[in-house]
Amino acid sequence: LKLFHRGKRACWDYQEGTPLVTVRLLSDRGEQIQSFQVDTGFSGWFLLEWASYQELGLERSELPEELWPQAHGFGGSRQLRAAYVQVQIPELDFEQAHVIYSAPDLGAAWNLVGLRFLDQFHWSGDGKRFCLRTK
Amino acid sequence: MEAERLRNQEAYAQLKTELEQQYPGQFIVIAQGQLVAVGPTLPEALRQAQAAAPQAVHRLIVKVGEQYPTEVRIGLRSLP
Repeated sequence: LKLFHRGKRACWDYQEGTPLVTVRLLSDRGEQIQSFQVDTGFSGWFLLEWASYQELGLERSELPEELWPQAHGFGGSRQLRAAYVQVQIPELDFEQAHVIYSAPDLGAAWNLVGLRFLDQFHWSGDGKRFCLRTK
Repeated sequence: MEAERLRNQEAYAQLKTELEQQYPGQFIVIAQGQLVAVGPTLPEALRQAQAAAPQAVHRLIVKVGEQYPTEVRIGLRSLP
């Protein structure tokens, strides 16, 4: 007898043609619901706009500076800051600590979720909805 | 905050080897220039840190032994 485990699934509508993942972020100084644009070219976990990073108090609760990464994109490279945040996706019964990056000049268009987070799940997008399923 | 941040950075640099030997896989918190919390999860470590150093204005948090990437690629956009 084989038992087939389908896993739990959460889906989010695309916005203006862009796949999104919405999560709850918790720090000891607050919590936020944030939507992140899926960027399969981003090798990290999450990139968060600076204002939200500050509202969560993460600039006061960071990884040591020697562990902050250098980011490389089309326009060159730059230093990011890094902190831990608790990430929840209630539909998946998912809660885990993850590293989140930011930098003082990153605005809201910079909320990105990358492969290091997505690859914990089966993920798929069909042009209308983007879904995560637990492995 | 900057002075406390620098103090925490110095403490981490001094404690790093010892932390790696004693607390692999644990979340540790450094505040006010010293190790104030060790816990198996982030919420537990933060609870301990708040109890031990409630006046701290800056903290360092590390999961000991985690491999943090020194470089990340960003695919979608040009960096500002």
